[in-house]
Amino acid sequence: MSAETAVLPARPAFARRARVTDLVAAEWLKLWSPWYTAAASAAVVVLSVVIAQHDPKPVVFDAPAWLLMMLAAGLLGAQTVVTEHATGLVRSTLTAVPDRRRLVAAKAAVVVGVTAALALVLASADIVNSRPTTAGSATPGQIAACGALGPVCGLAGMAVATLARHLATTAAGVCVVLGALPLFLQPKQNRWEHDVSNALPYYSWSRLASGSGTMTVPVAWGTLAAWAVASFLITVIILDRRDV
Amino acid sequence: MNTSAVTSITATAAANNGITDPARFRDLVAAEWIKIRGQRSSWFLVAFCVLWDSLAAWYSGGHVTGVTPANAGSINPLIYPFNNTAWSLLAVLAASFGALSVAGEYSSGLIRSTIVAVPTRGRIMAAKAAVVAVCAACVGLACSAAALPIAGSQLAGKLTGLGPTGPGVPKAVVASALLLAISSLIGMAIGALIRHPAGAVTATWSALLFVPALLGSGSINLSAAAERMPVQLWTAISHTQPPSPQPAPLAPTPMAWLLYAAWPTISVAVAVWVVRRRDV
Repeated sequence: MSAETAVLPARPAFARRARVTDLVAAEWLKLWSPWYTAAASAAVVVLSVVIAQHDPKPVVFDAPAWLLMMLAAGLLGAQTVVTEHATGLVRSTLTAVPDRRRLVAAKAAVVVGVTAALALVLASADIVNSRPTTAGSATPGQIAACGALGPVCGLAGMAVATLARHLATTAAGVCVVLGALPLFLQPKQNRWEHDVSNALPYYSWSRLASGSGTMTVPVAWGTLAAWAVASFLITVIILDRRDV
Repeated sequence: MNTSAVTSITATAAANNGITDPARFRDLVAAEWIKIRGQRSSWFLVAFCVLWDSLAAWYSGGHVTGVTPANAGSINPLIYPFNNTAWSLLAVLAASFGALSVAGEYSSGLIRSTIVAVPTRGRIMAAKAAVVAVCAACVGLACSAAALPIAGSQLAGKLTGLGPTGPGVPKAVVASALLLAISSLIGMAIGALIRHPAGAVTATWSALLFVPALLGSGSINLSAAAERMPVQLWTAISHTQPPSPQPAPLAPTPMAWLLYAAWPTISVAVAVWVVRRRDV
């Protein structure tokens, strides 16, 4: 009896159900192994800090320069979804993990972690490289808003990719939603443009990080949270319901 | 050997000759046109561009304030059909189209068949550039043709001069068609350099829309660099009329035309050089 138990363990280690940590590890591997993830992140931080040095406005977190970080975070999030569809890897992934909601949760966790780290690194770089006019003026609330902006954009990118499922369309979609809309719609214009632009993450974040605009602080936080939640729900529901 | 056999052999040889002739430039152009025509997304893009520009002309023409009979003469009516925001999106869409015409071949693997069929890569890229630029220019003409009458009817009673013979209208139409052609060629160069659809599209949007907007935005003091970008040159060429209250950022028009010519020349040179040098 005891010999048999020793030969046949109750359940081989590899046959156990994948735990969330395994899913997160797999998604981390997929996100971080292509060379361009780290390269693009580093390039964005350097470029953004360099551009911010040329802004005469005395703000630590320069809004136009942060647009680059928003695009990078959005594309990082988007590519975790769209490259799976483009390469066909999604079929293997869903065969290995049939529970799609857990899969999306793991993906979102990795994207949130990486984009938050990217945003906080950029925020620290901005603080370290702050000009004499802005030194020492960053508050914890501003830094928190910066840290939140990365995940909001990453999740929005995932939602765009889930809707488009095509490489070029996804890239253009992320550029439009996160980059072109805040350029074309500005809160100083007429009434509807003012309201629509205030609903964009760029202007909500500008309100929190550099105090520009007319929104109240809770509304700005609420807008960022609404973008994150809506994007996550779009990704979960659509990936769960659609064929691949 | 009788006469008819000779004739038949000659005929066969002639037929073979016809088939094994090196592809003429006309054939390459036809092949590139088929690649564009055969994609549903191309036609969708054309429809979107014309619709977008019509809507923009309708909206900007309908929301004009501060025009009185006294100051109407000093306002350039071309700023409404040739709205900068609308046309910078058209330019970046044309550039995405150009980028995908190259990057799409690399991502689908079609480039291998293309190069096996036509080993002279410079000629492939020249034919592709010709077709892409002509298509983009035609879309530009269609957009102008839609925007001018729409803005004109919206501005009726306030401003005149948007008819086909209005001051500066022919020049603006030509410059706008060229803007889309130039942008599509810049896109081709980016597509040849990056060769990945998502990367090429992102780089195109960053280079043509985001970076100029960042550099030219009031808060960042690098507008001199942004003035050399295609859309800003287009503004300088097509909207400058002496008494305009919205002067173009770059005044000297000959310089603007020179840069306007330099962008596509350099882009085609980069696209040809990169595709010839690199393995596929």
